[in-house]
Amino acid sequence: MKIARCFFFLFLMQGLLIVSSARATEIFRIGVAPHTSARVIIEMYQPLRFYLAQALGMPVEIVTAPNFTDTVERAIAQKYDLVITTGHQARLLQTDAGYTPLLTYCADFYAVALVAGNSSIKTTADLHGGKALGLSETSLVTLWGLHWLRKNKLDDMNIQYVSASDSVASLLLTGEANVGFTSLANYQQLAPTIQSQLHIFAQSDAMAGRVYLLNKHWKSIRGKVNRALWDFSRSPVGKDYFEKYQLGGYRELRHGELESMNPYAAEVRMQLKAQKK
Amino acid sequence: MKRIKPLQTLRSRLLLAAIMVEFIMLTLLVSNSMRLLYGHMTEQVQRHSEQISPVLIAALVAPLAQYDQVTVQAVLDESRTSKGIDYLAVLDVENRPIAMSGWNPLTPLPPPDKNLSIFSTETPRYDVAVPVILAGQRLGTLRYGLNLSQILAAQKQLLTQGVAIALVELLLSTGLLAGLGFWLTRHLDKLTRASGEVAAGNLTPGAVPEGEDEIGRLGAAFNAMSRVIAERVNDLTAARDSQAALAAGLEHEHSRMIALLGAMDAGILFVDPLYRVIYENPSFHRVWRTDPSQGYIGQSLVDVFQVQNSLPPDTASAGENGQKQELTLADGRILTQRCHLVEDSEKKPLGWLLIYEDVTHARLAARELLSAKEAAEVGNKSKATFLANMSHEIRTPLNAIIGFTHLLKREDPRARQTARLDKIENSARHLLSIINDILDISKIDAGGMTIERIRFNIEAVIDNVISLIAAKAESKKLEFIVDIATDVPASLIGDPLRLGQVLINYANNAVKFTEAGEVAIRITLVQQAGREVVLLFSVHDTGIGLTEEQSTHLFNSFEQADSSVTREFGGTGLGLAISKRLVELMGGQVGLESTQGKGSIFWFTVRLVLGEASGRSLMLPPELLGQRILVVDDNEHARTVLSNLLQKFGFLVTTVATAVAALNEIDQAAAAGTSYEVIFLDARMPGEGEITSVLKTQRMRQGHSSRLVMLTDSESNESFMADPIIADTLIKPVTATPLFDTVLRLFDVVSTELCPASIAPVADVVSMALRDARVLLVEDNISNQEVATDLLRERGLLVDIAENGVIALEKVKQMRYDLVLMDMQMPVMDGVTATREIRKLPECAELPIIALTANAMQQDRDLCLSAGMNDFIAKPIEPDELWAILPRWIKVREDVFRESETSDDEGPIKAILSSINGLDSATGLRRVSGKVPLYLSMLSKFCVLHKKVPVEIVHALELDDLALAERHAHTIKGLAGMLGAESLRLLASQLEQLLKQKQPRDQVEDCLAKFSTAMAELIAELELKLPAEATPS
Repeated sequence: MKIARCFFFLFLMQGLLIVSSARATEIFRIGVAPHTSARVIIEMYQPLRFYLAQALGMPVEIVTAPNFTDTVERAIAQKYDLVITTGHQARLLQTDAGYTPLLTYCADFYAVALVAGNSSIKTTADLHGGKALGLSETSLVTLWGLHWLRKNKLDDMNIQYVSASDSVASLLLTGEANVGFTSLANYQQLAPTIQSQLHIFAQSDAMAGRVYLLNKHWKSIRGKVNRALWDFSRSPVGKDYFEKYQLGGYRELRHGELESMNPYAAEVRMQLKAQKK
Repeated sequence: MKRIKPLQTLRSRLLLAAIMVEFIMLTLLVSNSMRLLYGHMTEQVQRHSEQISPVLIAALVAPLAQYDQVTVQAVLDESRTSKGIDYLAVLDVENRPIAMSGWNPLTPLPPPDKNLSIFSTETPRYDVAVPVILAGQRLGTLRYGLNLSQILAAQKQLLTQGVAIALVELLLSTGLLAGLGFWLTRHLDKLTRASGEVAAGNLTPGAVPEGEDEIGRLGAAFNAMSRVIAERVNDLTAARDSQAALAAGLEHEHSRMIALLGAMDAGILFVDPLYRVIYENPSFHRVWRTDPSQGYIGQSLVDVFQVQNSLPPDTASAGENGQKQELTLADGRILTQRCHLVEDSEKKPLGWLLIYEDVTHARLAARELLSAKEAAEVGNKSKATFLANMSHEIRTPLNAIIGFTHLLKREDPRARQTARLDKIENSARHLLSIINDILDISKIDAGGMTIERIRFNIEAVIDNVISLIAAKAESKKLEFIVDIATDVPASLIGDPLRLGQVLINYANNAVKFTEAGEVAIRITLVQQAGREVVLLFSVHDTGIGLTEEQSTHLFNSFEQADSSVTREFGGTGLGLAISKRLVELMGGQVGLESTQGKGSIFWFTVRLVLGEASGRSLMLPPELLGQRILVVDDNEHARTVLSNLLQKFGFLVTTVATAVAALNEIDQAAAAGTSYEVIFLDARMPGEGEITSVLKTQRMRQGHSSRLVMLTDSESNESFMADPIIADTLIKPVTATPLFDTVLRLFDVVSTELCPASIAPVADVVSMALRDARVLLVEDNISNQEVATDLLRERGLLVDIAENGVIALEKVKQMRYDLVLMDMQMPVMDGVTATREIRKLPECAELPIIALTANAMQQDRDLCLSAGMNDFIAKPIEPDELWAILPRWIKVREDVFRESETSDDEGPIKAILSSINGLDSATGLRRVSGKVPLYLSMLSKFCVLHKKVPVEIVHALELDDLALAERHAHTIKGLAGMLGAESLRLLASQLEQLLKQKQPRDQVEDCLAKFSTAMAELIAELELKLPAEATPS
């Protein structure tokens, strides 16, 4: 019996060792919503990757997706260990996929409607029958834009979805669209020469920006991850990062902040269901 | 010859060696080429891989970052379509395949190749693995395989081709080398056979083939060698034969030379370089008068000379090469010795050739001739001295005769006495001309006549001739014409004096022997080569002419046509002879053409040099070109000459010979509404008066007429000048410059080059300048003293007399003289010595001294000038010559006006002149060449002669004689322009125009009033401000 217990103990220890060794070689994958081009996203989050890899003692990988819909789908499929995405998707992942919101950026998130500086559009009435650009059907700025169009009774406009804010700016400047929706941060990241040729036609109220959510599988190291993120924000590398991208650092989510995104989250949920059908 | 085995031949060995070398080299070449090719191919594959990888990674980065499998698969499928890629795969960071293309997913991917080597590749593929990294984050791995089958196929094909080419080349080389070896050795075989023939004694074997290559050149060299050997053998044979012939020839030559030397009259010696005799000819003993049996062969040259107690000029040697010396022997005979150096063909001395000749008789004869010549020269010198003395002795009394005659004629003798005085003067001058002729011919004979080469103006020479001949022609009523061809240069270099002398002689003869008709001097250009010209001077007359027989002797000395001529016309007969000699000295010839009873042409040519162009150019102002002129003269020759001159100036000329024809021309011109601007009318032609009457009538009717110029002689000129219808006069014969000046005057063109002498009398100015000049006359002859003193004092000069040089020397020390007139031959101290002594005085260094002597020979002149005299006046004194020479040396007296208390130089005078209102004295002075006295004289004459012109114009207007009034205005216009009174000139011109155009009387009177005021003001100022002597009393 004792021998049996000993064998069982050994077997358990071996199993634990195997599991721990397996975890030890596991890659911590951070999925970032494609708020800009894949290259920019990979480069942008490299300081965070290095810092977390060191802090967590495991390799860290930054990945993104072709669009916001894929991001939310992959996140729901539990393919990301840490997700960095917009407020409405964060709310969806929190409620529908068990992700734990950790923090968000200090800088408020604004969606903006852009027009070309030299265009003849002076009022919303000038946009009737024109073409509007959105990033993705499930992106926050696109959803806000669609709300703004409806609010301004511009239902006759054609909507075209493009991959990134750069593309929105290019199409507006070449006159292929009349108005485009993107975030204020992305607008400010554009090259100064392009930025100066665009004009902010409308701007949203402040909304929750990108929210960091941890996969439910990593609940055990939530504190470690949370601490590591705050440590990153205080480190010189982190300060450079926040200053460079004008994000202002991390902050705790306010009470009810994500809940306010429920309408947008619901719209995403409907779209996902519609796609599955 | 022994036959060589095939493998032992040079040809076979060379061929074998060449093929082996070729084989080795080709093997190395092919293998090396393949190695390089493989290396190159490997490098290309690697480069291809390096080019593909970044392109694929760039395309895969974004989809990998997004984990977009669909896009990654699409990229791989698209990329594999390009040639050369077998498969493509992308693995994630955990090496799990994300996408594959061209590879079975069930088969594991092959491991990547670490090093590519296509030599060792078993499968024809290059497997590559490349990590995909972005910003330091590995996103996955790219795997692909490059297909090498095409490269390996190409490698194989190249190897096959390389080996094939090498084999073909080896075969071709073998064939070529075999053929070449055969061709080369074929010529060598021929050469070997030919050499064998030469060795066997056949010096002319058949020619071997030649060519440009080495074998060909060897063949050519062999052929040349064969030829040279044959030629040398032939040359040696010929040289042997010619040497034998030469030896025989030398023998003959020696014999001939010995015969020649033996036959010579001159004594010949050959001596060796040590002066030992090695040959003597027989004549040597005859010349030296030595015993022929006693030979000198082997003896020293000094021993030979001792035979006659005679030393050679240089005992150490025979003398210098080519030297001719004379030896005087003990017996008194004179021998010449000529010494010639004898050298061999290499200029090495062999000895000397000495030639002796007896010249005793020739030398004695020469000495006698020299003595005779010296005696003749002494005689000639005596003759010349006699001639000079005779000339002096004759001239001295002649000076008194001519001088006193001149003075007597100025004392208003009665007509009969005047006639006799003229005869005395003519006789004296005739005698003088005879003496001059004799002196000239004597000088020419003695070779003492020299021809000068100075610049002169041909027209000046002709003017001088005219001045001497015209009066004589006029007195005989002859038409005197001067015709200078238009191409005759004006400025020439030569001897104008001698040229004029010949012309005067010809012209004098022509006038002398012509009783009616004309005498014409014609000058034409015969030849011009560079600056040298030949002029032909001819004098044409319509005189008595000559027979052919008379013509032949005419230019000989002392010969005239016949004795009757001498009786009738006088003369020494030397004139033409002197002319001929002078012309010959001037490089020309003389000649004549004559027809008895009809006339003669005496001509001569002279060789001269072109002078620098100077003086005036007779160019009309453009406005005068083409003006119409009528020439009326019954003498055709004179008419043609005048017409030619006017046409040369640029006028349109019509000539007529009769008054009737002239009147017709004038009428026709008037009928056509035109007129002749100028009419030149011969004063002596019949009907002259009718023409002047017509012109007067014309002027009366029309208020103007053509300008009439009367062609006169000097005597009647004055009378024509008084006639108001005559605008101007010209004295015949007409020459270019006076004609040109007359035309300018007629057309109212002021020329600054007009000769001042034509405006005011020079003599007056000269007299003014010379007055009170102090002259020392050094003369021992009382008559000459009296003549010279009277002549000088007559012109206001102050004269002191010194009887000889010593007195003159004392006087110049005590008194400051302006000039010294110095006789040459005087007692106590002659003129030459006195001049030299005067020149030693510092204060007299610049004192002008002029020789005044009857010694007229050139050497006398030269002696005077070398002693320090400045000029020369020959006795008897010609007053004109005296007054021409004195002003040259007496400085123009600046104190001429000093006594008028105005100034002591021209500066104050000019200041006074410039202060006169209405007078631009600077312009006026420039027009008289800056001569203040002349300008003052003109101003004073203007005051005197033209003061009443305004009144005369008023009178003419009262009589309605507009032409006269116009002429007065015209005259004042010209004078005012000349004097520099510009405002007066303008008013006079305005008045003249108004009168000519017959403008209303009130306009004329208005202008006349201004003109009269200007005249009065100018004359008043002139009278007030001009110096007392210059102001007319």
